[in-house]
Amino acid sequence: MSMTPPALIPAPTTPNLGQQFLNFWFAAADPTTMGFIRIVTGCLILYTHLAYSFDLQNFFGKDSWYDTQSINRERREMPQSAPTLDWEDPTFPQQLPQLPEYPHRRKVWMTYLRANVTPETTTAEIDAKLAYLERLLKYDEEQMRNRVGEARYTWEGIAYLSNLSSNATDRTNQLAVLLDESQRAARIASRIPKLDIPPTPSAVGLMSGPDRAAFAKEAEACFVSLPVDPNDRAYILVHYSESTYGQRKALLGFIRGLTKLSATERDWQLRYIEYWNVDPNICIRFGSSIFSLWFHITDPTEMVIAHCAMLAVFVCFTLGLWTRVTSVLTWLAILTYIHRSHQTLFGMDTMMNILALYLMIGNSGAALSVDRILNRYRVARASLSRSGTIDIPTQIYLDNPPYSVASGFAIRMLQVHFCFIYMASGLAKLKGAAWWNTNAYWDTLVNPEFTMVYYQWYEMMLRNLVTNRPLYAVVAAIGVAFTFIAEIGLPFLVWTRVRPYIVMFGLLLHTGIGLFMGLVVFSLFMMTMLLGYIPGVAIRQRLFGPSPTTGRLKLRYDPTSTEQQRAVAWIRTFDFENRIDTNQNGTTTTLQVESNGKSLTGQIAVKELFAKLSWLSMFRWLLFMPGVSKIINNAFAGNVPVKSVATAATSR
Amino acid sequence: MDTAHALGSDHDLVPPAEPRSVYRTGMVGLVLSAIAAAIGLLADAIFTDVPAILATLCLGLVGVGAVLAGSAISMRPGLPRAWLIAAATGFLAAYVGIPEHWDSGRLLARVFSGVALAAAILVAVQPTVRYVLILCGVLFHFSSILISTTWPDPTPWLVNQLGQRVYIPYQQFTYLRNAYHFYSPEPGPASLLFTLVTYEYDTIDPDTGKPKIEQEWITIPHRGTQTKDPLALTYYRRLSITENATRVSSDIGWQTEEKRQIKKRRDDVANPFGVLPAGVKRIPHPPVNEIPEFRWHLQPQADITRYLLPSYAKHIAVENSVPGRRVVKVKIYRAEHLIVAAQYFAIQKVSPYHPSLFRIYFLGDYTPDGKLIDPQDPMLYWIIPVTMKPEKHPLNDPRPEHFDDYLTEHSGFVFDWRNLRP
Repeated sequence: MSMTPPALIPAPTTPNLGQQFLNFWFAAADPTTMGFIRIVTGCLILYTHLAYSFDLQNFFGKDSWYDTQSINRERREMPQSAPTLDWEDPTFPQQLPQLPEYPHRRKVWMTYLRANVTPETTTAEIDAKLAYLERLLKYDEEQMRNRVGEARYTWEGIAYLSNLSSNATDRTNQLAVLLDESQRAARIASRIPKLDIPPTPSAVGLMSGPDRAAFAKEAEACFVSLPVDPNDRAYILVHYSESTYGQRKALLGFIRGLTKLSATERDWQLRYIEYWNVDPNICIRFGSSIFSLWFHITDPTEMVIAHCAMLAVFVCFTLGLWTRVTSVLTWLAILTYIHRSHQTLFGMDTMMNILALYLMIGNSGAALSVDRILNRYRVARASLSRSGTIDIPTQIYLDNPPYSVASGFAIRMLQVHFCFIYMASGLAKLKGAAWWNTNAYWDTLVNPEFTMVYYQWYEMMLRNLVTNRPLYAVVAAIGVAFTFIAEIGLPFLVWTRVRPYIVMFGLLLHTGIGLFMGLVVFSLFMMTMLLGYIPGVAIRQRLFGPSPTTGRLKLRYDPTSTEQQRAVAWIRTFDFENRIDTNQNGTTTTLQVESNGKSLTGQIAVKELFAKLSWLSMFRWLLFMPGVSKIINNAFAGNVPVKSVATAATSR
Repeated sequence: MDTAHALGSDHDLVPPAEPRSVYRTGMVGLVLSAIAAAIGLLADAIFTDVPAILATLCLGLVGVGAVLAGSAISMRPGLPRAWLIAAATGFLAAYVGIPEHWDSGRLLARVFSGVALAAAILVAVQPTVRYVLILCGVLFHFSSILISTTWPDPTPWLVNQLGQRVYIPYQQFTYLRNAYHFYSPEPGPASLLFTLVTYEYDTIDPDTGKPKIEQEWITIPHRGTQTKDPLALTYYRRLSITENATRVSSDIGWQTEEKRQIKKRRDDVANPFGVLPAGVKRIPHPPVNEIPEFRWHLQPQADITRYLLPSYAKHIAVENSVPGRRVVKVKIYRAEHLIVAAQYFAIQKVSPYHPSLFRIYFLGDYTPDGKLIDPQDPMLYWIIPVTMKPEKHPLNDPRPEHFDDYLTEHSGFVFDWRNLRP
């Protein structure tokens, strides 16, 4: 029987580019590949999440490594901003307001902000407090625009402010010098010991008389708004002077903007900048689009119940039971763990998520699954009811699972995604000198936290390797070349006739990574992704082999008997290797299994079936379980009253 | 034409589910979601704080409703109306059915509803249109992956814009943000956390008359004690936790006032004639020829100091407190475990676990609730030198007398380096 997938659209002899493109994505494919990937992925998912059982509280609990409070705040508030859509003016770069990163300094800044922007503060009041800084900023801006020397007006102004006296009288004397420099000597001598009067900022030299007076007033207002404690005051002034022009401008804008907000909104913005050190006004969105049960369930008992429920879903998914539903639930459950604790994740989780996503899209339960077994039974039963026999379409259905567009599409997505992964990984390595001088090979081989170097024998093996430098150099060069050929070569070669070889290359690479770099589960997931390049027919042949021509069994049954129809349907359901021929025989009153020329009925026939059908033979032990053996015998033997093998064995 | 393919699916061999039974199943899901929504609305109207039992009931109804709506689709995915019922089920759950404090559940329901609505459209339109629409989705998906792979520095402007403005919500939800730059540009050393935990017991120490105090070093991760599964996932997850605390700020140099003070405080501790604050021990700078000066002080990135390290400290305190013994202080060090170069491995027979291969950075003292005790600690974020003594010693024999162990000196508690090898 031909296994060529059908074209999506009835194509002319040479399909045009568009049709080829559509066929690339939407050609129906054998779902066996997805079915097999589902089983392997399911087992790995199950293992990964069983391992979580030891650390449920450590990773996802209320006081886990990244506690619930922090992750909840992060997912709701984390700032997300985007750069401007236009060119940035290099003279006046747009920058964001920032508070000091050091906690003791930020605390002082927050106290300053909260003290100066109270619910009662008007815009005029805050303008008055900031006027001094605004004026200096304008002088800086002018100088930057004219590109005349370094803009130091703000810097000088802040230095001036930080040298003003806390004593109001002294400060009045100091500020008076701003209006008339000739008074300096007199003001210095205004008290004993002599008053220290800071140098007049050079900006004053650019001002007219009234402007100087205003400037002195503004300096006083600004100074008074600062903390009384000299250390705290210094924290405020130093941070402002160390900021860039853009940051100063943004910071003043932020402070002024606070006065225009309601009390609640202002409090929220202050709390936001205190925690995130980002102005919320520049954010295009807040938080992350993530979900998790563990954001909401923190009670240890409830967590265990939820965890067990998710493990049960994984079991169903692995078996392929209700796969359409459980595949969706599996993907969501995986994300529930992933989104909660991103600090614990590594490459393995990424691959697990990718596989689960595509297994959900493709109908991964259409082959090698409990769903397929149940469907085989339904189809066989329907055929027997319809025609009294297994008709040709049914036989074809039993031989191979029907091709499906969903499977083909999902496999293609997986294949293309895998190429992205390899290409990105390979090209990124080209940036590293260690990959060119082959030192990277050594670094991956001997990293104590990943590799087996903690074993003395492994260390000895490496020592023996490096003893001979030329030998080591050749091995390292081969290792690096192997990595590049696999990672950069695969995305191109995998679409050609060398696909089997390059896939083998990839499998070898990941075997090496698993063995020598310690990333076993990651490697297993990567190898599972590589299975996407293996045709379903190859997998089926390895699992079930070709239909045998010798040692075949024959079923003789009465097509009018419902019990016998049911039994035949069950037997054909489990005849995965197509070893059984079905013959109607209207005269028989019992279902007969013909094997090696003998005609068997009842439990002997069932025993023979379990002996000859290779997949059933793995479950022969079920025939010795009281109760279960009876159910099996009833199902497989038709209407013959049987004594179970287990009971028979006991009675003997 | 191949008969197998002509058959298409089992639906051709057994009659597919009746649309009525599909709709009935979906409608049961929708009704359950509607009941949850009604309960939610009533509860909001009656109670200020919705009782937990009602919230749980709503969640249960919504959960079962969603599974039923999904099951209806799985019975016969080709029915647009089944998808619409599922979309309505998700919509009700997203806006009223799921309690407000389960906000991430509401997000999930919104996505569920949106996907079902899109699928209803896809199923209803002509096959050609359907395939074109799906291809648009494929284009979006893979362009998102391309953006992820090109995101690491230097990020192209276009990638930055598209990522921030368009793709990030999708990438976050589906967890498809990995750049796949494994071991690149170069493989680097891993980092561990050495934590010194101080316990206070309920019992009184007869010598001091005060509660008994003990200290213990806990290394994270430790292959020997923290591997709980055969494939060591539990170990690697902890390694990932420590690796997440290693990103350092790019702001280097001593230009700012605080930086100058940080340097002065450290120099005072290193300088034999410097002024030492009370309780601080003298610790020299490491030799410049062994560790370049720009590696002496590594300020972790802001998110690490602000949220991550406090959370880690809190967790360590909770995990190690038991009845009768509570953690009162957690001292955290980052230990960058350098990879021994091949020539040293070959000629000097250096052990991969030799103490001089660890670069230790002090990350602070924390209270059990995760508060950094002294943000102006003179050693905060500075390297703690662990260097070989000038005399020649075999490098595969890391006996304490062979090297200067300032980790023990700084912490005040002996660190057993031999324990690092499992």
